[in-house]
Amino acid sequence: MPRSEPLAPTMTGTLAPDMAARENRLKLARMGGQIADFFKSYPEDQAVPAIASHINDFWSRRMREDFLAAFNAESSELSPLLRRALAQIRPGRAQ
Amino acid sequence: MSLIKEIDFGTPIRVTDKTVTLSIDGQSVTVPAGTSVMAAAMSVGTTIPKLCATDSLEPFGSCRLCLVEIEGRRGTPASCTTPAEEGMVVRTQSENLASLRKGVMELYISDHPLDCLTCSANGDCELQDMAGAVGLREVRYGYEGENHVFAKGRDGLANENWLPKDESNPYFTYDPSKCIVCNRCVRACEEVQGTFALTITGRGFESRVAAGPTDFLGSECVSCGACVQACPTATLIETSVIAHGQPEHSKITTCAYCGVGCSFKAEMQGDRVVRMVPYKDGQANEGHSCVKGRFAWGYATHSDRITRPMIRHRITDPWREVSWEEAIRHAASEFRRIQAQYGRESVGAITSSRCTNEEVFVVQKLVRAAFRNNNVDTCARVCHSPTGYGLKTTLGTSAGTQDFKSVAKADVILVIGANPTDGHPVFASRMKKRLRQGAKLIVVDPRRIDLVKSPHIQAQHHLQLKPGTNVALVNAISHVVVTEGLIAEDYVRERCDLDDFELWARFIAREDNSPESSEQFTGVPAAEVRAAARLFARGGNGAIYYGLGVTEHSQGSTTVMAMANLAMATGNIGREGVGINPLRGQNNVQGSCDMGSFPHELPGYRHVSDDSTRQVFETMWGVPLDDEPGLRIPNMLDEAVGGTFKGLYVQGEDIAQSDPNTQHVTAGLGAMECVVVQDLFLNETAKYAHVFLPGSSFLEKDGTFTNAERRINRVRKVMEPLSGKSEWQATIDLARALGYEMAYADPSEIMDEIATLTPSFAGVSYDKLEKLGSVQWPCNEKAPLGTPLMHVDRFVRGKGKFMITEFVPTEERTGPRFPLILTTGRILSQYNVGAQTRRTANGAWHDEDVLEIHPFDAESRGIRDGDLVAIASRSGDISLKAEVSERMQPGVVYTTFHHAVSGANVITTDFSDWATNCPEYKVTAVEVRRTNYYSQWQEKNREEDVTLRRIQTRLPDAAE
Repeated sequence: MPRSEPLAPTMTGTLAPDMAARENRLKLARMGGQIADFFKSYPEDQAVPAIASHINDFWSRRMREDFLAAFNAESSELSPLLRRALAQIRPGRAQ
Repeated sequence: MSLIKEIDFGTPIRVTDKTVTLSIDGQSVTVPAGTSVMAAAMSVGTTIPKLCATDSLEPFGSCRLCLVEIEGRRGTPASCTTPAEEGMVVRTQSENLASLRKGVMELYISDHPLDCLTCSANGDCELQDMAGAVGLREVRYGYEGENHVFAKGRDGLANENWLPKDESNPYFTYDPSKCIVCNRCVRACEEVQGTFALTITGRGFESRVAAGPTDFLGSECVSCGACVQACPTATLIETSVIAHGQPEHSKITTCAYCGVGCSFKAEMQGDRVVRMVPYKDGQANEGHSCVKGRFAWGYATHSDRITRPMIRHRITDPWREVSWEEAIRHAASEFRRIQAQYGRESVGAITSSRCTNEEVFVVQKLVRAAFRNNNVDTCARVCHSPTGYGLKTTLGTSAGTQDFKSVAKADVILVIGANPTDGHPVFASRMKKRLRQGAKLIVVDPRRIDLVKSPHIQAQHHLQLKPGTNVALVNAISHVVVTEGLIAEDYVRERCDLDDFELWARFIAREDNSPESSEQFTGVPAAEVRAAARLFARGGNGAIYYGLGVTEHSQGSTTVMAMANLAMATGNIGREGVGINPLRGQNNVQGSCDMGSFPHELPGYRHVSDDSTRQVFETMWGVPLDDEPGLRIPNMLDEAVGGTFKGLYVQGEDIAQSDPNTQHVTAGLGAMECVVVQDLFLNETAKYAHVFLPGSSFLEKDGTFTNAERRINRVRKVMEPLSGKSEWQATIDLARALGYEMAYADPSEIMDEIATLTPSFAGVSYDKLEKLGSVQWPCNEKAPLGTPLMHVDRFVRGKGKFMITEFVPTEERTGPRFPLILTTGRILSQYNVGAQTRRTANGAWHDEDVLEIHPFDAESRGIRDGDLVAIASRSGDISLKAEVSERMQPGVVYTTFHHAVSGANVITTDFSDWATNCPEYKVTAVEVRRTNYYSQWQEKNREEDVTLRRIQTRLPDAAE
């Protein structure tokens, strides 16, 4: 039987890297914002850890890292609660 | 092997603590009070001849065959309608009774064809049996008189009494010439199914069974098969039995359609299914069925089935059939290459909610132990993941609280975002039975679903809210409960966390949660909400049933928690007749979640970061496991488009059709370098696949499904896999090729491993399922027979946790460009992506997706019924035929997603639930206009149906 060749990427589904990064950043910000919106009716001392722990429990290592990389330095576009939760989001362990 | 036959007691055995003892033919019999003499006799094995009685129906007393003699009573009462009484002395046989019964049979047979040898019911005819039982030897009246049997009289003239066969229904035939007018079909339609489609027209000799003034297909009949099953003759009989004859053996198995999980007898001739008959001892369905499970199983042997493994290098290449070894080796080498090139986390898998627990378990095990990451998700992501999150947070378990039977004790039923008569028809029949007995009904739905008003059912309140405002509405109901002092205070004090309760009560009592304030969002008059809330809180046992209309929103999880709050506040969890119950979509969606299909949870809903849990698995599986949550389906697709996720193993799912924003899904799939699809058919996702592993239908496998009431039911193999390999075997072969060994000889060994690893399954084994029929988890040392009701004395999490559920409107907004809201759903005769039902005769009821639109919206756009219309959203556009319908409210349009060619998910968006990323299928802003064209996507899709599905013509076998 013939040996299979490695497969080449087939279609142009992949976005250009800068476009992809921007899209990704927007999406993560939106998801984070939705989580913060749920917890906003809680007292802040409960809301902030709850937001962070939801992200820690459900987001993959890379999603969290991308989120921190995108907003750790400049987080003005995030809601205040989400901004405060940033510090409690767990960075991924080294691979 | 033989044909399994349940005992027919003739009339229902009553459920009561009081018993009575009587004597039947000298034998002492003790039965529950209220049980008929007929059923009492049968309970000790004494068969009294009968025709109009069967124990799925209330006694009727029309055939006069079941007469008995009772000491001290005059005449010969019918044993079916006579309740057994203390001290009664009954004789079932005497000269007098024999002569009476023979006389009755003689009359019946004088107007019945004598074509027994060529009759399709030959071998399964109660009329024939009774003629034999009473010893009928002659019919003194002859057959020449007035009759319903012959099309023409002896004089050659047409017989006015004769009616032709009605063969309009694709699955069964009605032959009026064989009818004995016992009424069983009519009663089954009323009592069992609750549709009231059948009736008896005329009187006396003119009496005929009729599906209203039309034929069966054109009538209200939903083709559930209850009438066919009830018919004692060949009058109503399966077309497949007419074609093939009587089955010779049968096995009990579980339907592979919706989450009700009905038990069926697969009645076979060799390895050919002759018919599927609902199993009376199946605890989910108790002998009832719907059109899908009963009749729509032909897809299993459809010619579209792909039964050989195939590979291709590019998706534009034609498929090449290869051996199992080559396909598995190729898939494994591709996954290895991708992981080497792009990293360990660049591959993942999607498990199937249509596959067995055992099959799902080995796929997630492959991901965790062979891929060494947690990138595994399942289609529950797009349906009930918010249920899992919401119920676990508030109550402590990711599942419904009741068994289906519990609805028979409910006093007020609250149905939110579910359409049980279409989506979960067999459960709907139970619910309707209870409603006919007088339980009250509150329906919360943007559409006027059938349950709102149907024969003998009328909702007390239909809260016809705007899509996307569930949270506002449920909060408003709770607001009334709290502010009007309707809280079950003792219950809350004893069972719930009081700090959380107080926080919640203060929140919910806020003015902005009142019905008056939320009316601006929901569109539901405040007075109606107040009345519904009072009814629910004061009406006795309040039971909540909900579906995807709750979960598939950006606030899906919030609504689930809001309902849990309401149930706790009114004391409606922890006993029969109450509870909060998801009506789950697919046959094993509960099971696939239980089996650890979520990227953050190991089997049994335990977080991957929990060291002690992981250790148990690591010891058993012999590999270190990743402690980071993996990617959910939408995250996988996002990362694929972003270029970091490259390989996917899809087990029996069709995300290219079922998941939202099709063009995003296909872009993601198209960006992957290796997509492995394991399925029955070349589905939409397979257009983007590089390896195809043929799957097997539920008839070809041993395993278990877990239904919406946590019931673990056996699936039994009645034919060998057409592909030559069981699905679980293919998965462990792939794992082995990836360098990870899983040694199972049989699916029962997989279940044994599940039981070892998962505390809530600790007591489950195939042996136990064989003995008990089914069990509901948790099944362990504390509950060896399983757990029908959850949270009985205390909540699983300890104290019930009230959550604050603030209404946050979705970001998907209507506006001048997209002024209407599209909401999607399904209908009775089709199932999910339609891969199965479209390959059956169910197309007779629904052969295309249509757009339902309110007359007002249609009028203002110049749209008439049947016009082709374009539906456009921010994501894309498609064209469908319009159906002008007053079930809709103005401003809201509706369609189904059963047909791949329509592409309903081209228009749905990326918006999703905040907690779980469950897509917001139920709210998409759209515009609708008349058109003459199919959309660009539809045209392209039509081309790709051909170009991306080519299979290389098989070459003649060459010498190796």
